[in-house]
Amino acid sequence: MENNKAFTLANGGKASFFYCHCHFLPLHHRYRKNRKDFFVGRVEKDVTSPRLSGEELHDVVSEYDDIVFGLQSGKQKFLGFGLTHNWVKRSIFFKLPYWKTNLLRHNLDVMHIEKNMFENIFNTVMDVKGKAKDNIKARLDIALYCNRKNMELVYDESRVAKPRASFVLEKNAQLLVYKWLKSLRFPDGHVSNISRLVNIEDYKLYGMKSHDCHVLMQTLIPLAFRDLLPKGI
Amino acid sequence: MDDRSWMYRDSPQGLRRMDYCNGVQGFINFVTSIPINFTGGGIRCPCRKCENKKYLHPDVVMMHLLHKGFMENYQCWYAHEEVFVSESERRMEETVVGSISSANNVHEAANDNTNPYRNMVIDAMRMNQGNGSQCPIIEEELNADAARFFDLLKDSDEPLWDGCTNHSKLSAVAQVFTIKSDHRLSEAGYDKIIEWARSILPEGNRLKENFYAAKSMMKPLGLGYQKINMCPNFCMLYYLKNAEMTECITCGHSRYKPRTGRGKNLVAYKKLRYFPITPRLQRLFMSPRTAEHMTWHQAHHAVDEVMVHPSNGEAWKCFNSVHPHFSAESRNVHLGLCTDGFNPSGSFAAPYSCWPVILTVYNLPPGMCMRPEFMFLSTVIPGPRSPGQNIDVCLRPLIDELAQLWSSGALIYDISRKQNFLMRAALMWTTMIFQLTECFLVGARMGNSHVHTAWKTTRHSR
Repeated sequence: MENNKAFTLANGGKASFFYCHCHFLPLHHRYRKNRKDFFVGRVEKDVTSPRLSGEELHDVVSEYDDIVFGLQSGKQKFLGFGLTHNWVKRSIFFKLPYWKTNLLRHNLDVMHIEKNMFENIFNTVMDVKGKAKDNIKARLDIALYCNRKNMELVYDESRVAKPRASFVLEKNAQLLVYKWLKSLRFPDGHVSNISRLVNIEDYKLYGMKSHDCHVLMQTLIPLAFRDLLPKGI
Repeated sequence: MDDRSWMYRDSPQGLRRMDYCNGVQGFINFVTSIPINFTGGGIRCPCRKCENKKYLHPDVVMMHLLHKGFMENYQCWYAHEEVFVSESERRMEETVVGSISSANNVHEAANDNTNPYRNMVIDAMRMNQGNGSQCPIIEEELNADAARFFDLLKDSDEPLWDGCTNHSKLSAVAQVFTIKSDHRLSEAGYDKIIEWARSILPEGNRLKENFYAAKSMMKPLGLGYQKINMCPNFCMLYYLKNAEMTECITCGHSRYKPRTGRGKNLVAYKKLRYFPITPRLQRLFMSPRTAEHMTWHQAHHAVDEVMVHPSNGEAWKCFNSVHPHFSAESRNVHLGLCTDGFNPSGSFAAPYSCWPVILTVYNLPPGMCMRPEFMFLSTVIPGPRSPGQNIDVCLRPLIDELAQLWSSGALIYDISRKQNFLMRAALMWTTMIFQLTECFLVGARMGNSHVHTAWKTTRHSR
């Protein structure tokens, strides 16, 4: 989109919205002028771009109607794609005469998102190998965009060391959490038997359903991490 | 019917009154006096939790009723073989049954009111009757339908073997079908069991010999689906004006697989399964148990600031105010759509992504509208690759039908009010996981602000 500040991470290779939400803040909010803690040296002056109503959106999207479906559909690009807009087609739902008047056209599966969030948070804090988001590439990106010296990689002659982040639990603390989860018992029908999902040898949770993630996220994680992690987190 | 007001009346302290306890005792006596109530191994429990779905011992049922109370709207004990009391209802039953009997001389059999499988057939028949009474144009079709239907009715009353009293041809097949789907029996397994069952049944029994024959017999009941051939590259559907083509317009891929051997039938590369939504919505209005709930979204009393149903949400109210013609008829149907890809043979099997598209009826109360029986599968998009942004091609039959349901509607018989009405339907929104929303349905790639507005507004729809 025109006013989009999303960018691709140089090392992680993923689209990132880091710090983009700052334009939702009030104009004089101190985070907007904070050059130190988020993006190094960036001051956010933009305000939120106006939200298009259904009718306006319909007018915009109608331009992108003549698309040929099939193998080639991903390769067709409308003029200005990636620069001024990101549209690839006019959705077939706009063929319904009332679709443009709908206030809420698409919903997101909140349970699914919560599951993803839980997995990311839990695996990062418990430092699960291969699943944690706090990896080498992330550290390289932090060095590139932020001013967080304690998170940067330490180059020591022939070796590279990754300093432990403050939000990652130590091994004995992890063991404590897993043992606690193993011993938990719940009322009937509240959640699946979590103690069966814990594998202490592997330091992992197996076979979590999205509802289990919901319960852990809402009630158990705050309890577990409040005492084990430092106060600022 | 005697006075049933005791069923939903409690003393001011929330305790059971004496007349409630006596009433429950009367209910149990009534139910146990009719032997057919014991067919499921016990009697149906009409308590708030079991809702006539469980078969339990009468003593347990009594305890449930004293403890939990009756389920809602159960003044007429229809699931316990109490005959319908409403006059107009009875009249209609008679006309339907009468017309069938006069046409086919199955009068004696049709008068037998105790066979649930015959009621199932009559339910299906009412749908056709309801349409026929106001649409003389389709009478020709109706007759053909009716003929098939009468065959089915005859089937339903023919005993399984001469002298069999408790099973008809149809009831036997319907029960085996239930077992098949409950226990996920394969087709081959079904055939083997039927083969065995036929061998122990008396000579000259009428049990259908295999799954295919049984399915052909059940087919006239309705709720079928269409198979629409499609280009394996998701370019187009062989649908409507393209129905006769044999090659894809865009990529030139052949529609059918090359013939091998002596096979006569042409086999398409890819088939889309489309389940028309109108007959399924019709069924909701056909059954007295669901028809009354179809207006729940307007009838219920909303407590301010409490979101119990999407109809309390902003989007719903806005839709109704923009389309007053639509909202004036509370029986008009509000639908939601959701889809996701999955691998039917498990996540560790060969990669194959099948996309079911499911419609939800939001007219129903919250306890019902998220139940699997009220979620209608409308399209099955075959794999092995996911359709990606070509999903528009596959959704075309659905969107065409939805557009038609919006503009002209469908004539439907509503059993709760005993009248025909023109039902219209609107798709309120879609629900799916984050990544899909942006690239498949909204029509934009990563970084689109409208996706994020959807994200913010999600909370009040759930």
